[in-house]
Amino acid sequence: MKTFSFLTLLGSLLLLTACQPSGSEKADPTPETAETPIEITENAFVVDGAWARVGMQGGMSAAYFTIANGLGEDDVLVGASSSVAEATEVHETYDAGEGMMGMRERTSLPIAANSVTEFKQGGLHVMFLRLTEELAEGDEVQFTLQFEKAGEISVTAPVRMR
Amino acid sequence: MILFQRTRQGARRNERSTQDTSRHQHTGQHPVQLSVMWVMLATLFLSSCIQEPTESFRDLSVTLTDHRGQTVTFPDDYLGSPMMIGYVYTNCPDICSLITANVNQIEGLVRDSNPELADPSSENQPSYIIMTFDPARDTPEQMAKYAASFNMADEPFHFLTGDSTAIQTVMERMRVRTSVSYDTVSASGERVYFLSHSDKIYLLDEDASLVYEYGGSMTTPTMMAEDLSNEL
Repeated sequence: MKTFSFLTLLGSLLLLTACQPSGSEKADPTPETAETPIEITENAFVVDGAWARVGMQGGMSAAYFTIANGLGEDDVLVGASSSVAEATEVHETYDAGEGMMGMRERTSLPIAANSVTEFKQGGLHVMFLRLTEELAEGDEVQFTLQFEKAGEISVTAPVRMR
Repeated sequence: MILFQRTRQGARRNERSTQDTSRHQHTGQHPVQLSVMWVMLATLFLSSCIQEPTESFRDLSVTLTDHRGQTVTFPDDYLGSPMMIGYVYTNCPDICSLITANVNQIEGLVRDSNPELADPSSENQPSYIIMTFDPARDTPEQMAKYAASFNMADEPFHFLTGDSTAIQTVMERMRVRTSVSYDTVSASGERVYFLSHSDKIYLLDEDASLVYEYGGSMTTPTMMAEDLSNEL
C-alpha cells in the first residue's frame, strides 16, 4: 500500500507538473520597470514619480504617479484637471471577469493616513479624454489633483511611451 | 494573476511532459509492481495531457486595411514568419496603450537578440500587428495617427482595421470580446465611450497557428520576446 500511495503521490505531482501551462510559473528575472519604492515622509503629503503616456490629438492619454500621505489623517482624492484635454478624470482599470478588463471613474478615492497609493498601468490612472494637443515623447504635461484636505496639488509629468 | 499570463497550446506541452517523465525513473521498488504502476501512471499522465489540436487561423482570409491605407488579407499576407498580435482600440488610454507599448518593446528585444532583423525587410522578420476591435472609430487614418504616436508607423508594424463584419469575424475566432462599459458626452458634445475587452496578445507561428495566448498587459515583454525568438 505504501508503494501505491507513494506512487500515487508521485504520479499526482508529476501530473501537476507536466500539465501546467509551461511558463505559467516562470518568474521574470528582472522587473521591466524597476521603480524606486516611495517612502512615506512624516508630516508630508507627496505626489511623486509622475509620467504620462504618449497620445494623439483628439485621443486619450493617462498619467501615473504615487501618492504618499504622511499627514497622519485620511484624505480623499476628489478630482483632477488639466489644460491638455477636454476632460481630466480619475479612472481605474479593473478586472471585469472572464479575461475582460473594464474601466470606471473614481470620483472619490480614499487616501488613507500614512499610506502609499500607486497609480499605475492597469490600475488607477488620471485619464485625459480627448487631448487638445498631441503628447509626444519628451513633452511635459501639467495637471492638478484635488484632495479634500491636502487641497490642490500641481503635478508635472514627463511624457513617455511606457 | 501570473498563472493566467500565458497559455501554451498543443504540441509543446507534450514535449515538456516527456522531459519531466525522464527525471523520475528510479524509485527502487519491485520491478513488476513498478512496471504496472508506471503503465497506469503513464496512461493517466498522457490522458490528462492529451494534445489539443493546434488552433489555426490560416483559413480566416479576411480583408482588412492597414494604417498605410493598403488593403491586406489576414493572415495570408503575413504568413511565412511569426506574428505577434495585440488587440486594442485607440480610445483606450490605459490597458491598450500598455499592450501597444508591449508589442513595440517586444520588437526591440527580438531585434536586439537577432541582429539579422535590423533590416525590416529581412526574410525572417516577424509581423508585429495591432488590430482594433473598434472599427467604427478606428479608421485607417486614426490607426496611422495612433501608430505614429507610439513611433510604430514603419515596418515591421502593421495596425489593422476593417469593416465591422470583417473585424467581428476575426475577433470571434480570436475569442476577443468587448462590451461598452462607460458612456459619456465630452465637453464638445461628442459621445465618448469605452469598452470592456479581453486583454490579449497572441503569438502565431509562420502558418498562423496559435503558439501562445498572453494576458496582453500583464505579461512582460521579455517573456514574450523570448517566445517569439524561439519561433524564428
